[in-house]
Amino acid sequence: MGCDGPRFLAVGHVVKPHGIKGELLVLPLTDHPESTYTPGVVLRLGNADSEEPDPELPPLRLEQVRPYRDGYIVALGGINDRNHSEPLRGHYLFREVAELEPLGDGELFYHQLLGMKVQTSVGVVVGEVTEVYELDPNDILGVQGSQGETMIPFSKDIVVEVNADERHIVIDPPDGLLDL
Amino acid sequence: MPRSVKKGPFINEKLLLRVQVMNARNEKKVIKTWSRASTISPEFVGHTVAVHNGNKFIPIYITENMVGHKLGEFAPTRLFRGHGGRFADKRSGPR
Repeated sequence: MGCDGPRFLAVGHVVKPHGIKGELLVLPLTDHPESTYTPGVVLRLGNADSEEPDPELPPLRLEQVRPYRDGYIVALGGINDRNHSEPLRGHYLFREVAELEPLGDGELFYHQLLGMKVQTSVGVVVGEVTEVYELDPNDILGVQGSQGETMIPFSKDIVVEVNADERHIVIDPPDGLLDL
Repeated sequence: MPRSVKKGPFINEKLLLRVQVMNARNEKKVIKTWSRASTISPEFVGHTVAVHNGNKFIPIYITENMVGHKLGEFAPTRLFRGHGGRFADKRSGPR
């Protein structure tokens, strides 16, 4: 990750308080929830629209975590009753990028992909990545060009090069992909 | 109840024929289809099929582990853009 990237990334969304002991139901927003939702991890609270957590809110340490439906029930240090947990409803939980699970081989964060220039191997500019659709088994890149949005499967056979430093992606599309 | 084994998997005939013709010619072209119910057969592997989701065509690159599934499973009719804005800890790479 480059030094110009954000210092924090959102790892969860507080759905609602749970019970009367200050616990919260959190929806994970990370691809590696097992390494983040562990007792002892320090999280910051903030709004997801901003890059950084709210500096006025203190960092909170995870004390207890247990899986519940699609998320986790977490107990945070210093929040012991419903009166303290209720104002946290709807907040986002941030974690320092340096503490996150390292990126795998060839992996990039979504925010790094957004804004990258996409061109074909013969140099034809397709557009700019504006969306990453999370699908199985391959994600799809939404590329906005002069003729609207083009969808590119994020597969090794189609995407031949992703250059994070120069912020461009080179694709070798099969005939017809750019005309859909 | 699963489909009868006697009948074999359902694959739209026109779609299968187009894939077979492309395989014979060693061609790679995107095939547009509305047949979300067609089962992915081994002949499809390596091709890109644009599956209609009711609104637009979603290009799907077919890999080996998709064989046996239906095309519609890979072209969701509601595209979820995710929570957490652009700064969520989500990662991706060409697979």
